[in-house]
Amino acid sequence: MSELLKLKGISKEFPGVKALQNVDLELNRGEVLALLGENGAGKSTLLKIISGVYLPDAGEIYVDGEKKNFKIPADAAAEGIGIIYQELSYYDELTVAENIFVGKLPKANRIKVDWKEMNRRAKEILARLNVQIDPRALVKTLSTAEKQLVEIAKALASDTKILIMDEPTSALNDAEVKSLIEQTRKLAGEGIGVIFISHRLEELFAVADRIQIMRDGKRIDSFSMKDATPEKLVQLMVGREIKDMYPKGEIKKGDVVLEVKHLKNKTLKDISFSVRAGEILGVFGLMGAGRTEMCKAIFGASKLQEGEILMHGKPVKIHSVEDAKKAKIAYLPNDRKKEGLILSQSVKENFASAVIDRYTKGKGFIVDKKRVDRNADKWIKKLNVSTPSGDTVVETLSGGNQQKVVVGKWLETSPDVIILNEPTRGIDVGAKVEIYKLIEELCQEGMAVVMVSSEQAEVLSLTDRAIVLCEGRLTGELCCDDYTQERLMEYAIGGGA
Amino acid sequence: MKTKPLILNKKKFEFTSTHLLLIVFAIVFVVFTVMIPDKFFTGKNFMTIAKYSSVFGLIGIGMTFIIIGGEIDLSVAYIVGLSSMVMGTMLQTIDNVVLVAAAGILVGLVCGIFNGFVITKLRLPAFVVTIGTGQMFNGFAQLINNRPQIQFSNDLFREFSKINVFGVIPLPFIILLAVAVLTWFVLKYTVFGRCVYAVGSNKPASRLAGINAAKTNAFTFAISGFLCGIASFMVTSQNGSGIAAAASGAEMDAISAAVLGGASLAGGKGSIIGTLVGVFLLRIISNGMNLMNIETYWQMVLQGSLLIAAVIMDSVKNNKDD
Amino acid sequence: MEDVKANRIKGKRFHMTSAWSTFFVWIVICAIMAVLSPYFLSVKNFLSIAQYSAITGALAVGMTIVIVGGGIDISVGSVVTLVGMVLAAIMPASGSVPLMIIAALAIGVACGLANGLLVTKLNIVPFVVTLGTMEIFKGLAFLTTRGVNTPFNNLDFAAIGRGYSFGQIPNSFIIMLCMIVVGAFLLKMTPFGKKIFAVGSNATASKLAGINIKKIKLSTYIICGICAAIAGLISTSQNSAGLTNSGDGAELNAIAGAVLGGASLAGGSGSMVGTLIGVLLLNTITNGLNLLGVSSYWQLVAQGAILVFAVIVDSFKHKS
Repeated sequence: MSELLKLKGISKEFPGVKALQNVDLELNRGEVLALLGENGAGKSTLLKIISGVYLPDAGEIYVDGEKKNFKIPADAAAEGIGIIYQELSYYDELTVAENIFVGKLPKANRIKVDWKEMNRRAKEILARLNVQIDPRALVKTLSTAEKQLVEIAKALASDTKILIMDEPTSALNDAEVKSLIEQTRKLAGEGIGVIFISHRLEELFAVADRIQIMRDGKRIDSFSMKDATPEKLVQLMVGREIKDMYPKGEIKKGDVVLEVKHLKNKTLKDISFSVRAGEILGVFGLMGAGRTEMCKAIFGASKLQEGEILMHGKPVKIHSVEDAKKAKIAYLPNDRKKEGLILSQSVKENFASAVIDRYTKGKGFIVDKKRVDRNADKWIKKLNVSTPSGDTVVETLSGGNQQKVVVGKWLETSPDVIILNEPTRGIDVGAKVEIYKLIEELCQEGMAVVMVSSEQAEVLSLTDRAIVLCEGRLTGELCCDDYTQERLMEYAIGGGA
Repeated sequence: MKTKPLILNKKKFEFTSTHLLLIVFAIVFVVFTVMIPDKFFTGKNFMTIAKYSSVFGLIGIGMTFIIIGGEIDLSVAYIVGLSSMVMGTMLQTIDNVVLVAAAGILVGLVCGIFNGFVITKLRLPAFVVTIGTGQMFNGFAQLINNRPQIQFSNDLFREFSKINVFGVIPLPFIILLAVAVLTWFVLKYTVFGRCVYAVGSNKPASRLAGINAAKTNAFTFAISGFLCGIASFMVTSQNGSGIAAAASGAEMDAISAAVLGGASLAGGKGSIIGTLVGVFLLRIISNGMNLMNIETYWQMVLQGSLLIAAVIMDSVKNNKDD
Repeated sequence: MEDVKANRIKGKRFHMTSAWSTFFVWIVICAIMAVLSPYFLSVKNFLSIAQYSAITGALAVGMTIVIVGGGIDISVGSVVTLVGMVLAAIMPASGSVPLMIIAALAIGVACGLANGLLVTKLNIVPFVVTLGTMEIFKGLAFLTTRGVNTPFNNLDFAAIGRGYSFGQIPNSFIIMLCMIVVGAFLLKMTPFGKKIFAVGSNATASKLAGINIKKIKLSTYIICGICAAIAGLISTSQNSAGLTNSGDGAELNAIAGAVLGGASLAGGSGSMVGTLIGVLLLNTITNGLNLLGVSSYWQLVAQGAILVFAVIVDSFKHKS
């Protein structure tokens, strides 16, 4: 086997985060390399460097033994590197065929697009993937899974030597996953080198020849899949025994704090659950399952068509975030940069942003700057936020510290229930442990916690009970003996219920 | 409208904005025909409408390119004005009509390239930049002769807009149709055309796919500038003068027409045929109101309201898609 | 690539000092003008700059608030014209100054409310909304007086824009300074101001923090309408007439003043002091060009070019 792609000593730093530190990677012809790591381990950054989206701060890239310098994505594409991004990059208003060939439309002559040829070739590629999609349909009419398949077809359309798939299966069902794995093996058989990222270990065992594990922006290990066991992989990925990471004290559960009944809207189809004081309720589901929509609906940020929300047994009307705040519900969004923080403002302004109306003097007309400062100091100390001062722009903090700012901002509203949507996404292991401890502490203080996560290990270890969503439906509620990784997944892909 | 035949397994009949537009068009047409039959429903009046539609149609087509690419240009009226003043001034001393027309069109093209360059190279918000460049063009237009208007006496140049093909169809209208067919082809069948849709639909993804998004957008501004140049040639010929305000308010007309015709200000959507229907609709309304002796000031109010109405339709549509 | 990097570095420097760098440019321009025109460095001339800054200044105060909130309002020029026309139309019936002021403010609130409701309720891009209303307000203005310039004679009213207090300080300049102070207080000291910054920086996060973003945005447009109405009052008073072109191009100057002073079109940044400096800079340039006898058409070009320049500076700030 000959070496197709080689990375040497790649480093990349963003403000506040060392995303990659001295990372190596080798990919051989005809090989499927699994890249494994927790969220925030640096996989996506590494992929973006391979595909020319980011320039590395240090390190070298070799394709076929030749040193390359990718300045723009087109440079990488010219070397036959195709990538399927985690965030889909489709064009709603264009046809399936156009999406597949975008940037390299087949031409009839120098200027004219050959629609016939394009549709024919698109059909061929789609047939190779065993999917029945009309190449002439507009992409906006497709389902999420179909769009994902179009993305894969897009990567196959060019003369690809190296195919990178960033969580290609996250929105697919079992049959589709199986077909995708077959396809991937077939492509490897044709001599293509594939880098495959997925969190589902069973998939990696089925598809990969070799695996590389990353943690905290570093390469931890790389070995043949034959030598791998799930336990070994998880341990390498997390860096310590899972048990050590998650504190688990005995907490006395109180009365039901939040109860929702029959939530329905465009996405949600009849969701009911309840959570008690001092309890952490896990919410698990795959991409597009409606987890975020559920959170937002409870929090008043998304419309509900039907359903009832009860706090301490009493029904509350929630039409806006203000209503939710009054009802003592807090919500930590999954995308902290877009939804949780005002990045360009200071730490103290962010801490005060949910309660600014309370920090006033002069009959509510003037902001009481001293109280804003004191509030920031209090939370910086309490949550151990590492920041030069309260005046620091929040954008420059690391992911973990940013997340603490969002948490503090909501704790200042003294909520009775807090909904955490992917609270540990994109933050390093150390900060994760701190967040876990914090969640535990909140419970001890008697808060009810709803924790949404796409990491099975996290849900399983931190909570005693979880609900699972699939396509907007509640497919199951797990606890006690039933509460296993297999069952979680089974319900998440729509089985079980 | 254009992409519809591409969908094979499309559901049953779906009421779209195109249908609404056609219905409104029909209603307006019928109303004017009933209210002022002797003035509105005449061959001569249709020729007038066709003639004015040609000028606004060309500007509208240019705007459609820009909007599909996800940008906007508020300087088009001033591009037409600058080009008109340049032609008017040249005609004082130069008799060569072709040379003057070419120069006028070139001025439009240069203005468009300038807009495109500034906006795409420096990645600036198009609407503010074109408010600024529009004022610059406006200033330049009046600077040339230190006045906002200049008459000329070149009969051949004036004659152009009066030519009728087959005795009934104004030549400018033929040009509009030719440009429409050509641009329709460009948008639908050329790589560039499809890239305009791709860039407008998802700019970051287009960059990742190796499309030069900046260049694509810059080109749409150049095309618009070029078409403004041709429009200016027509309107200058009609007026018999170079006028800096020859197309005042045209940006509003053009945006309204494009959006009424199905273009979305979010980019990625729009069609030439839709825009043309939009242009005709606006021209007929304006023509009918003129014939009914309604003050131009009411027309200003209506023009602004139509723009907002068109955009409301667009936003309602987009919300439904979600 | 290298170019981009170079720009970024430059941008950072701009960012540190955007109001200060504008101030520096203003000093430089004053120095150049002082050399070119002996008349420039006189108290009288500076008072005249102050007097004529008032209209742009009043507009820019409102514009800054809208821009900080992440919006834009290009209809302000038409509001100025509309106020002028309506006042000129009602002047023969009653010359009462308080009535004039109330009428003007009512128009401002109505226009701002219209803009704000269209932007927030129907979720339309602000520049298109205000492009449309710009035409509508102008049409309404022309309808009031059938598009005719309407002069009037009312000395009490004329004192607003042409009178002086404390010796030689123009009333109009005092009005503008008051607006700057109130605007600065609003933006810097009140929860409302904090919310405007928050909404302009990140509307989604603000909404999820429980801020009523629609209410905040609506308020910014109403404030902008009121400021435009005050600008209209000053302008009408200075002209002693309702002029059809009194508001032409005013939006350019207002946007340019705000952006030169450090307001970012992306929303979430801007300051009243910066805007004041930006407006003074603009009017000093106009004054200088007038003193040098430069054609008013060149001034149009300059007006457009300055706006484009301001936007370029703003964008460099953001690419860093």
